[in-house]
Amino acid sequence: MANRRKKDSSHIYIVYIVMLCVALFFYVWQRAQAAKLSYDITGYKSKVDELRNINKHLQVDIQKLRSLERIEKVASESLHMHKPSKDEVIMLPGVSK
Amino acid sequence: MRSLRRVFLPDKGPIIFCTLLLVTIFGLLMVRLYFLQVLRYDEYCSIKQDQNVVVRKIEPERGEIYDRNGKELAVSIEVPSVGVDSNMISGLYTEQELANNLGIELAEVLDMDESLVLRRIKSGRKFIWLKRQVDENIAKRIRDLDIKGVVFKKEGKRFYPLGKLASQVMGFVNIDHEGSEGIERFLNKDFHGEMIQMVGERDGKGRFILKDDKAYKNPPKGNSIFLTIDSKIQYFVERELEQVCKKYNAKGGTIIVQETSTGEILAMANWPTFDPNNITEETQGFIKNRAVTDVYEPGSTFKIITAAAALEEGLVTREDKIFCEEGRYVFAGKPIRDHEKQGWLTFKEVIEKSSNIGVAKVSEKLGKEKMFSYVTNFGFGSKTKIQLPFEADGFLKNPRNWSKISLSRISFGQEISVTPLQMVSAVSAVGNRGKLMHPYIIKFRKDKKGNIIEEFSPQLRRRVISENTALILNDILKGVVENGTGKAAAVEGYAVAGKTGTAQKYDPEIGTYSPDKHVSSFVGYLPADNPRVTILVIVDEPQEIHWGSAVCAPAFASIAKEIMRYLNISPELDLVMAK
Repeated sequence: MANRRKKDSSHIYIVYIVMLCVALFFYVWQRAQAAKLSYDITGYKSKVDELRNINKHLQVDIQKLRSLERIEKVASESLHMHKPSKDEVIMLPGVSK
Repeated sequence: MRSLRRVFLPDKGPIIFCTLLLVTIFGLLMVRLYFLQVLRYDEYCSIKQDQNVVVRKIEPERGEIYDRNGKELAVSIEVPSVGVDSNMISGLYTEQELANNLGIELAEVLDMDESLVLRRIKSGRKFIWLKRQVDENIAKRIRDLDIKGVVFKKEGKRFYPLGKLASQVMGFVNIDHEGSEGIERFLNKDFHGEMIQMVGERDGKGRFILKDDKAYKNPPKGNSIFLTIDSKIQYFVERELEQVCKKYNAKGGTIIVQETSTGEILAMANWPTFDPNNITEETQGFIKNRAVTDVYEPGSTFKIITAAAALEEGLVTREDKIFCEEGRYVFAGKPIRDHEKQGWLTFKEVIEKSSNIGVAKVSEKLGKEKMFSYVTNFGFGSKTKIQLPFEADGFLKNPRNWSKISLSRISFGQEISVTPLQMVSAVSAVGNRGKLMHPYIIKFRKDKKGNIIEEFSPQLRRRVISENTALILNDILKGVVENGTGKAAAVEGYAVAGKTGTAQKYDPEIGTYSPDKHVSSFVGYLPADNPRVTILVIVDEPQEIHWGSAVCAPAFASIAKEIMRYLNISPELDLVMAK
C-alpha cells in the first residue's frame, strides 16, 4: 500500500517535470518565433521601403514625362502641331471671370 | 559505521551520491547565478546593452515643394552612397592588387579619377566616402564586383522633376541635404524635420531584430510647402524670356507675374537659368534669384510713380498742358533729353509718349520731400519681406543727400535702383485701385500628415493713392498701350495698362551712363479695368535694339495672351466688337 502511494507520488513528480519542460520549451519556442517574425518584419519593411523608393522614382519619371517642355517638344516635333495663326482664331466676347 | 553502511549500501548508495553531487553542482550554479544576476546585474546589463542593443538613427525625409496646383517641384528620394572601410580593404589586398585591379575597377564604375580612389582606399580611416549619391545601376555594378570593405549607405537626394523650371525660386540643397539657395534655404529647418531613433537588437549573426517599430509606423519627415507659383504660367514665362533674351543676344532677363489684387506671385523667372539636378561650373553663376536679389534702374517705368504722386497731390490733371522743350531741357545746369522732340503735350500724352522733360517739370512742382514720401510709400528702398532669401532693399538716397538734379532724375527712374519685385508690386498697387499688397510666394505649409499648419493670405501693406487717382492713372496707362510707346504690348480682346522703360546703365569705368548698355523693360496689367495679373518684363543689355517698346512689350503681349487663355478670362465685349 505504502509502495503504491510512493509510486503514485513519483508519477506526479514526473508529470510536473514534463509539464515544466513543455512550458520551458514553449517559452523558448515562442521567443524563437518572435525573433524569426521580427527578422521577417524587418525584411518586409526594408522591402516596403525599397518599393516605396522605386515608386517615388517612378513618380519623378511621370512628372518628367508630363513636363510642358517635353509635351511641347513632342507636339511640335513629332506630331507637327503648331499654334493657330491669327486668321484661324475668332474671338468671342464673353463674361470675364 | 552503521550510517556509512546505509549510505553506501549497494541499493541506495549511488542514488544518494548522485543526489548530493547534483545538489552541490546546482548549489554552485545558484551561487554563480546570484553573483552574476544579482550582485553584478548592472555591470552585465550595460555590457549586454552595448553588445546587443542597436540604436539606428532615422534621418527625416525632407519635405516636398509643390506648385499652387499640387504639382511636385522638389522631392526627396533615397539613393545609395558608396564608402569604404580602408583598414579592411588594405588588409585584404596587396598594394599591387589595389593599384591594378580594385582602384581601376572602382574608378571606372564610379567615373572618378583612379588616383583619388586609391588615395581614399589607402587613407587608413575606418570609413571614408568614395562617392555619394550614385545611381542605383552604378551601385549594382559595384555590388557585383563583390569587394569586401566597400559599403553602401542610403542617403536622401533631392530631385527636381521639372528640371530648371522655377529653379532660382526653389534653390537647391547641398550634398548633405541642406538648403543652399532659394526657398530650400529660406525654409531649410522647416523642410528638414526631426531625426528619430529606432531601437533594436543585434543577434549572434549580427542581424537586426526590431524592438520598436514607431519609426516605421510614423516615419520622420519635414513639412511640405505649396507655392503660389503656377507651373504652367511659369513655363510660359520661362519660354518667352529665353526666346526674347536669345533674340536680342541679351546678357540676361527677368519676368515676374503677380496676381494684381492679392500680391501672390504666379511666376518668377530669370535667364540664364540652371538645372538644380545638375549644377555645373558653367551654371553656378546663374543660381541667384535676381528678381529679388538684384537691383536695376527702372527708367521710364518709374514715371508711373511720379505720375501717381502728382495726380494724388492735385498738382496736375490728365489734360494739363506741359511744354516739352522740343526734346532738350537744361535743368540745374545739366541737360535732360527726350527720345523724340515734343512741344506742348497734355500730361496724359507726356506719359504716353514717355517724355523725360515733361515728367521732370512735374516733379519740380512735387518737391523732394513729397517725391521721397511717395516713392517709399510705394515700397521702394525697403524689403518687401517676401519669403525668399537675400532680398535686396534697393537703393534710394535720403532727400538730404540729393543733388540739384536728383529730383528730376528720380522722376524718370534714374539715380534710384529697385528690385524687379518692388517694381511689379508698386504697379500692382495702381491696378489694385491704390492698395499696395505684400507680395508672397508661399501659399501654405503642411505637416507630414498633410494637415495645413500655416496658410498665407493676401495682406494689405498700405493704401498708397486714392481710388480716384488710381482710376485716372489707369486711364493714362491704357493710353500708353493704345496710343503711346507701349502699342506692342496690346493683347487682342483685352485692355492693357502699362508703361515701357529703357534705362541706360551706369558704367563705373567711364563714370557716367553708358551710351550702349541698356536695361529694357515693360510693366503692365490686364484686363486693365478689372486686373487679374501684373507682368513685368526686364531684358538686360539687349543688342542692336534696346527700346523697351520693341524688346519687352511684345514679350509682355505674348505672355499675357497665354495667361488670359490659361486662366479662362474671356475677352471684353466692346474690344471684340470694335475689332
